[in-house]
Amino acid sequence: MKQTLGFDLIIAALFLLMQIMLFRHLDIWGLQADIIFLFLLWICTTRPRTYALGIAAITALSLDILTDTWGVHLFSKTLLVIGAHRLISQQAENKLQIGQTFALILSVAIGYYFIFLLISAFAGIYDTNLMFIKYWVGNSVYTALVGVIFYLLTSD
Amino acid sequence: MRIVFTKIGDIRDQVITVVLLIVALMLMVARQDEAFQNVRKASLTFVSYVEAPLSNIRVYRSALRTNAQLEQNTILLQDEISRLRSLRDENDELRALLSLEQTSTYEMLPVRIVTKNLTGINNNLIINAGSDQGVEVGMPVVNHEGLVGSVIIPSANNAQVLPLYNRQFRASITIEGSRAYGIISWESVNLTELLVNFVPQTIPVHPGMRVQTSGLSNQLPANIAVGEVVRVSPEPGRETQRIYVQPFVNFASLSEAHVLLYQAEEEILQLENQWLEAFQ
Repeated sequence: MKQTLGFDLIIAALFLLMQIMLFRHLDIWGLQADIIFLFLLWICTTRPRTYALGIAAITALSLDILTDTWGVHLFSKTLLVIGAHRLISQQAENKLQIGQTFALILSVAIGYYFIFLLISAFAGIYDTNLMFIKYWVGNSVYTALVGVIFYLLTSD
Repeated sequence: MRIVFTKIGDIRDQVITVVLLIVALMLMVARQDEAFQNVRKASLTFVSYVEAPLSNIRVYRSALRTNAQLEQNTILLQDEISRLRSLRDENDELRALLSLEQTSTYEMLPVRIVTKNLTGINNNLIINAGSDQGVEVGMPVVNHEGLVGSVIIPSANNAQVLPLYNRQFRASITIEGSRAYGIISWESVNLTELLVNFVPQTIPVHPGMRVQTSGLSNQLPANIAVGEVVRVSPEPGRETQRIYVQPFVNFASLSEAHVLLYQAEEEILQLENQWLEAFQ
């Protein structure tokens, strides 16, 4: 268990660095992919929910600190894990095709980004009033595309 | 594919979730507090250290994009420069011709330099127009750059011209930007400079000032460009200064010119004659 936790934390740290140093700057028309979201989906596929909640709390809080969002990622990612864990863990047992994987990630991403943008607007961190649809749909699609690429790279 | 929505069944997970959400909300609210600012500053400092190594990559990335834009701009500018150079040359020629026409109220006779002797002290030019074409003694010879000299000996179809680079050449000039008058001549030291004398030292003269005919001598009309001041030095033992002028006209390439069909004012000539008779 400790080895698993250590491994997951190392992976989480790597994803955090990639998000901060790379993906945060790979924006397309202002849209960004959230690979911490993808990391948590992967955690949900293989780890129990309580464990996933703990990892989500650590990574989301770290991301909040590094991106100066303070609580927004923690709130939305906690809801992501608690809400999508069963769905993700059940679908992980099936051998999904690329299209199905994309649809699964996209559907979860749409729900996640809806909460994320709402809580961002509540916190006054992002001015999402005018570009809500763009960020909501655009970020979801962008993140789903990156997720499919990760899926292709990691699956045998 | 059967979609199964997650149900919150585990009390432990519910409690953890509620705690985390409360913490998140507290963070959101507290982030603006004064006490929280130091923590935010520390996190921003950490992020800046983390991102510092990548800043060069971002600069390189933007530099590549900027470089591509600059290359495109360079191509466009080179094309524009070529066109502008062509237009500038054409404009210079037209301006030179237009300026000459505007500043001159006299008829001009185009002539060709038949002989050019600029090797010795007695430098002279011979043009292919003479008295049959209306050329008379004293008429100025100019081109688009400025004064070339004045006619000294006209024959029927040719005339000898006293160029600026001749020790016998004298002309009354004025220095642009001041009301200083002087006499310009050639010292026969070189073929690049003329000398202006009789300008008081109280008159400030600087390199770059233009020199043009004054019209006071009644031999040459006023406002014909002569040259540009290159250096100035005080005249030893006098209250005047020595002003060295580089002529605008390039005598080395001079091949064509115009004779201004200018004639001195008859009244002034009569007054000069009367003055001479009165003191003889």
